[in-house]
Amino acid sequence: MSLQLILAIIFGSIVYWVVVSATQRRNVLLVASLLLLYALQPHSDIGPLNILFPTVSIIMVVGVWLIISTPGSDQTAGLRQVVLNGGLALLVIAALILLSPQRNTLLTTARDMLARGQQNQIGLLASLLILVGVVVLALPKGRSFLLLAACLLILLLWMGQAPQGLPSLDLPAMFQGSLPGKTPVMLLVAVSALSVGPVFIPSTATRKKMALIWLGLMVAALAIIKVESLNLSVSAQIRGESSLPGTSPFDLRWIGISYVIFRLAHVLIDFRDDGLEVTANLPDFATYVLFFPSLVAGPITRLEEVVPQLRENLQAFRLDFAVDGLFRVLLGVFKKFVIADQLLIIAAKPALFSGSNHPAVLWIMLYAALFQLYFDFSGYSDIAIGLARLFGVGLPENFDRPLLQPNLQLFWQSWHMTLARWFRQYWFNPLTRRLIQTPLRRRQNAVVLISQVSTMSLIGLWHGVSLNWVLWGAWHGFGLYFYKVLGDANRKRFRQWIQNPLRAQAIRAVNVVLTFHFVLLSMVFVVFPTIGQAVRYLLALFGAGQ
Amino acid sequence: MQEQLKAFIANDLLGDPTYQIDNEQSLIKGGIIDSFSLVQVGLFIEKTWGLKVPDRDLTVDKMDTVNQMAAYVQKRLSKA
Repeated sequence: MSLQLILAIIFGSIVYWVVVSATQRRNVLLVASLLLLYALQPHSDIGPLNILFPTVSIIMVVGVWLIISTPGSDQTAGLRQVVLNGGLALLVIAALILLSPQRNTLLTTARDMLARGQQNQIGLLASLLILVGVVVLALPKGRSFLLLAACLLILLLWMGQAPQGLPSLDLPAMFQGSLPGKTPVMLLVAVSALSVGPVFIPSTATRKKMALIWLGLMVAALAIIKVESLNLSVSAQIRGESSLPGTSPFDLRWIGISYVIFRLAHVLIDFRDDGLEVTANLPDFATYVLFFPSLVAGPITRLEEVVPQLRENLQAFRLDFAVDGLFRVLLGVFKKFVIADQLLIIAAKPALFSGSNHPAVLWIMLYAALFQLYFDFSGYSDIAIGLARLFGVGLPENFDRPLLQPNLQLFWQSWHMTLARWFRQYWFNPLTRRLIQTPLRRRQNAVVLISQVSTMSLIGLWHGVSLNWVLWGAWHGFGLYFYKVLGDANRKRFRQWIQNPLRAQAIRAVNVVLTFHFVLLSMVFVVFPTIGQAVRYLLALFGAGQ
Repeated sequence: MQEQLKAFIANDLLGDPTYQIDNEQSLIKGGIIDSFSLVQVGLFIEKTWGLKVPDRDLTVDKMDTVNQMAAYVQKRLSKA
């Protein structure tokens, strides 16, 4: 988020409390979230992707909601009908246009009809508003003709030639070419088909199977975006080239996809494992998943943390909440745009590392890199939490003085807390539980080793699919393992040591320094793209290997 | 209930029956037990009170103190 946008959102919050009625505030949050989903999507010169990725996110939200919400309730029945009608209408219209012998004439006519509107960029705005309207209204049965009309309009608008800089959707062209090139369109078709699925088959067992398919699809979507080689190969295919020049490591970028998927995955897993259905209506659910303050950089919220607030907290303005929110935004802006951006200049990076750097310089650069990462990310979290509070919504904390913790276990309870929590809930806990119930339980340390190292390696992989990120994760995983084993073995002795308060403080101070430096050294895997460079930097820090 | 939980934590998790635990003491944030031990607490609750404790509930938000753990068990028992 830029400073201008943050300022605009702050002013928006004033309008929100002064002008908007209490019953409409949730709707305003949803509309703002949907608009910002499109506005914040990083611009791609492959025009259709600018529209396609945010749209797939929205379809995912609707599709997942249809799977996990209680079938048979008035709300779901109405929406199922709408999705069915709308989906079929869209397919029929698309098929008619694409298969018609007069396809080109039809397209040209539509283009001519809409040319004037598009020159004023009204076309894009209208299609976005219609899309937003459809989701917001969650139309009851009787009004599904509106959806039909909306689908037709959107299709025509996208098929028309967009003015320069605006995305157009040339459907026939996107279905041509090789298989990887069609991935984004296939993704669109797959999520749409999956969304329509529960309309036909509402049995719980089938829905649970579909939840698994959704999870698989989300992992695939994440892989396309996060795995560099996959990302580049798909984008090269879309561009119709055999490969891309290596200037941009990630050509396909998808706004907020990681965070959207974390939020959707938790409700899907809870439904699949424990049959936990969601009572939230679609607008509440969509606001939770796509909530604009936490779209770009988290925190990774849970449904039950956000949805009740959308019903209770938006009724009346609370000054203490707003003042606190504003303070958090200012703190975040200071951390991110003043401290972190300044530190970036001297933070360790491949360009600054040569074989002749003095170790002291290398240490300073590495300190700067860790502090830069901390102030950048925790600053972003402060901004997100603060902006959400300005609109009456409390988000969970993401950082709690992580660099001042006396051990690695506590570091991971205070650094990117919502990410660590997610992985504990959905990977570490189930894995540990299973392992404890196997013969391996007699070797507790082995269970701890497997659980910690695999969890941290996965967290590393989430940050970036590379060997360096896996090594970073393994570094922390082994650290947690050794801390646990040594801590368990020396607990009694340690308790005796810290009986003296002065000694306890001294030991704590030493532990804070040790933990900080353990985390600091892991930064070499974050800063450098290859293992060779990371290891050379590590050696050079201690005056070796130069 | 609190006493049973405290006895389990002191004996089985910390290996030190003399360890004094306060009901309001922050166990995870205070560095007394870790996330691995919390899974063991979950299994202990399941075995002792015949409840199913979902993995998503084994977090510092819900089970950082003995009182929080006991409140969780009470709430689940009253719903069962």
